[in-house]
Amino acid sequence: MKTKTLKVAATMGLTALLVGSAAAQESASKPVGYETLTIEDGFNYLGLRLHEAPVASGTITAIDADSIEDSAADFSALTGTYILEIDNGSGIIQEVVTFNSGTEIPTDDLTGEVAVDDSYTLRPVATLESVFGADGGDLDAGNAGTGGADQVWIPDGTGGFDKYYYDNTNLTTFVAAWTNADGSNAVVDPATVSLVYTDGLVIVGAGGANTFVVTGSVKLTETNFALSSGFNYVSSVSPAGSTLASMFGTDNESLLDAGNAGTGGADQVWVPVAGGFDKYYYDNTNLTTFVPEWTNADNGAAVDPATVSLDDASGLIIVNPGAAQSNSAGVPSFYGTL
Amino acid sequence: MKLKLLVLGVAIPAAANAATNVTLQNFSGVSSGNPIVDNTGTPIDNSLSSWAVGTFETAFADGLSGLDTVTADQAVIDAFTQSGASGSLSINGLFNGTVESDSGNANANAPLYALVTYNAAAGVQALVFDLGRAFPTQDGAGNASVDLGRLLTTDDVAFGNTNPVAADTSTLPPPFAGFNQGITFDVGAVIPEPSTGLLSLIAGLGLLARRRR
Repeated sequence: MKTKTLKVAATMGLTALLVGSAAAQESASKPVGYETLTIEDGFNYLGLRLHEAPVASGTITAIDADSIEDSAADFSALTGTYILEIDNGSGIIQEVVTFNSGTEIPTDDLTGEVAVDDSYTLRPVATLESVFGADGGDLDAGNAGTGGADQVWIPDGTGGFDKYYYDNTNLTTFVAAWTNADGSNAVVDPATVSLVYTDGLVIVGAGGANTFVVTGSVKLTETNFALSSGFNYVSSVSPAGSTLASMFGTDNESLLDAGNAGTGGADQVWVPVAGGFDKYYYDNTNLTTFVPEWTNADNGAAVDPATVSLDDASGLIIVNPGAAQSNSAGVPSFYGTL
Repeated sequence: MKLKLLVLGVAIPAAANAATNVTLQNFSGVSSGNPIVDNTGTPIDNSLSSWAVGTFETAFADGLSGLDTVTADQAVIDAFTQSGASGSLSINGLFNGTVESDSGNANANAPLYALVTYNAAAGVQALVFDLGRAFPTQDGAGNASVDLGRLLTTDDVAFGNTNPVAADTSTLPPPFAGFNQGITFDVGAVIPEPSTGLLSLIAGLGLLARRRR
């Protein structure tokens, strides 16, 4: 076993979680574990890399322009919000807030990307409550305002953020509550604030460094994520063993926009490090080697993407200078053995 | 012959947040607070007040403490270079919140001040807090944050009354009635202690009774 595999196994506690399909016709064991993330004072770019355990899986029996169906499934007992994962190598994920019937899931038009007999998985979406606790857990809380509070910023999909913190004295109710950090003092039900695992979290830390623990299961297949124009805060998805190569491809198989002898027009991947970011992009004509290379965006040096570890970077920033696009994030190859 | 290679780059698009978050507070829950009060000791009306962060030219900042707190309010306001949007007071006299400032990080390393303004009936009043630090340098994603991690006190006042004064908390919601010391704008404003006022009233009644006899 590779060292990285051992690390992942240790991280995951060598525990297999059996997942029952909706029809109980098959089950798959999913590795689970925990990860401790640190919140320093100031801006922290984090991501959720251990996910809610799947509650259902199965085989797609029908597809149309706005739904998929598994005739052997029974979704009638499922309530809440879920993440639908299509397990055909496309990495497609979608948020599911309701079901059309016991066997049918509403979707975007997937007819061009999904086929009958493709597999799928459903897992509950993480929420502010499931990750940080109904009482704010290990986050520094405010007292009648944001002063001294760790703030959790969630990308809103339009380039901005929805911002929350836990207030020991919410000024609307005068009791402890999750609160909207927009100045309205509006109480927030943390169970209704979804944290989709492709999204990075920005946590603005206050009051000294602290940590919080994320538990859950490891995703073993690739994930598709949408990039808006501009700054995108994303999760690195895989909790251990992930590199620039495994996530985006040795030869940019994830098809990020590449540069040509420079960063112009290129999507840049920013990896948070102490004091700033290490920045990379794929250059079709690296000016050092004159061949396509992953390249350091600061100095133009060619980079071996397999040596750029993302283990310490649960959150990344992808800077997209072009129009909105969709790209895929892979997982380390040894995840196939887990 | 060497060819000069020109590479035309595309500017990195603006960061989604690209601001310095500044969090300031003069109260924390129901346990501690230093309300901003007017010359009668009444916490200032939050609908007529706001706070903001920014900076001053060095020469003006050096002279802040020597300005007449009664007459120089507008001059201070005019000299203040505000950065970002204003913040509001949650409750009369009390604020505990975050503003976004310094878009583009133009103020990096400039001294960081907070200005509280109150549109009083007699005219606008200004109170300046020296936050004792500079605007930080934003990270590569255009983000930075400042949180003092404590309440603002009279020790932070750069323009205004540097001594705490009695606060009349009768206008505050009951949970905050314990905030009986505040920060005010003008030096020299005599704000009677509640007990002193009561003694004066009793003394006055006593004199009135003596006259009637």
